[in-house]
Amino acid sequence: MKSANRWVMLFLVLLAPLVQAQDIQDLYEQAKEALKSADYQTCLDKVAAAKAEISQDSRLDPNGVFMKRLLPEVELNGQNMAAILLALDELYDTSQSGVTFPDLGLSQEAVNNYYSQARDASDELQRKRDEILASRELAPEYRAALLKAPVLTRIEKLASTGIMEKLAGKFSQMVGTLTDSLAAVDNRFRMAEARLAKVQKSAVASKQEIEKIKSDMAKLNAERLSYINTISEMLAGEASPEMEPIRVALSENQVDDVFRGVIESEIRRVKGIAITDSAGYKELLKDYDRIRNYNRIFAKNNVAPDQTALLASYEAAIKAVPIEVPKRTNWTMIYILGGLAVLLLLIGLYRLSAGNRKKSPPSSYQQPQRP
Amino acid sequence: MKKALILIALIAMAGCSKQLVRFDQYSVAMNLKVDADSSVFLGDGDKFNGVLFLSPILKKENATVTSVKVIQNYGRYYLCAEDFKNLWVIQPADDGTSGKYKAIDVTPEDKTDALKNISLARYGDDEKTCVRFRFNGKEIFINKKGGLNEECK
Repeated sequence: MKSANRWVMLFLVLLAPLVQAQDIQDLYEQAKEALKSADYQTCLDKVAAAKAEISQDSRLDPNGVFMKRLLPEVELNGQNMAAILLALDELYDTSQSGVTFPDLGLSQEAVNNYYSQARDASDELQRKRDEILASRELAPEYRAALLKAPVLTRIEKLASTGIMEKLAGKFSQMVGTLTDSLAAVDNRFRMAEARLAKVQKSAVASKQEIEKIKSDMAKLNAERLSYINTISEMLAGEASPEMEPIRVALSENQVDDVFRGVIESEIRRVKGIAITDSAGYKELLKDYDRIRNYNRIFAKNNVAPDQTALLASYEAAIKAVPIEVPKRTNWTMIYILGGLAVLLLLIGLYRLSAGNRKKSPPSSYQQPQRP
Repeated sequence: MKKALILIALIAMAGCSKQLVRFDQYSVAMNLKVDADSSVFLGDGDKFNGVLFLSPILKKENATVTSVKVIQNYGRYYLCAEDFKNLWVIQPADDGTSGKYKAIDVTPEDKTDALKNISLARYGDDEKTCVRFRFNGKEIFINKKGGLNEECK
């Protein structure tokens, strides 16, 4: 290097310490990095700062490569990401406050409706989320960052568990009323059962009175099973953590006592059946399957202890019920006898007609002339 | 007759001359990873313009670096890394397989000085663009001919 040149450099280096403005390139890189973390605001701020610097000194961007090409590209991505994230935030807020479950009563249909509403709300949320994500163009590296944005995680959580938590909240409100109603119906059923036992022992009991008590008991039992069915519907599916409050509330409300009482009364009812036909027997098996299913759901959710042993007695009681075998019609014999009857009838008719022909001569017959 | 011959000669010369298009050879600053064989790909991913083999430069710098900063201006490459002692200029040769390289010592007063907080950028206008080199809180401009200035001249 020439010595003159060295002196020039020495002069420059000594006299030109700077209060340096940030490089356009640095600002551009920082904007890109920010966007790779889904930080669109920093990105847009950096782009604006770079543009401002270039506006003040156009020599910072000799060929306009930053102003015309690089900055607009990253800025457009930043704006698109901003629009997407703002729309997602809005979607989350509206979904968070918008998912409500109106009162539909305490029936199984209500529970099914609530589940259906929850599923629809979850599907709708995910559909809208995907629609928003696809609404704007983003370079792949920024889209990858967007998919890690906290709002998307929140939406995912709301769609997968948040809505179920809201549903669990609704069910929690229902549980109190439901278990109270169940306990009341169960109490009435037990009273009716006791009254029936008393009446049956009495010498003056009328058949009409007994039938009336039995009819009341059947209605109460149906109502009781309906409540149990509603509870089991609430707990159906996977034992998710969101449903924990429901399980706790149910176990605290002695659903297990009622459930055990239901199985025991069913066993007594079945044992009281003297005979049944095949349709009645099928009904008994259907009831048994239903109660066995409740037991599975309640045991799985720790709402009631496993009643397998009691269910075995229930099954044995059903198996012990005699089934009335209907008398089978012997169609072969009927056909044979019918055929014989027809044959005899035909023979009789034939003989009758043959006898008539012998007694009356033909009309064309002429008596012979006497000589 | 003489004029006609001159005219024919001019036309023939014009016909033989190379046809040219405008080709601005420059880049924004690139932060490039140095591979194990001391080479750097001039570009990013599958989009690059060539490979620079830096062994001689790294040997002279007596440095092991993981990345270098490179910028192209008027076809030449300017290269530096943190703790380098020089800024390096690489002029690609016509054969497309080699380049001449030269050190620019921007701290001649201090032979042991190391360059820190370096940055490279192009500065100027369409007709006259320099490389602005920032280091140790200072900056200098290197013009098209390789001259060093405190401004882009």
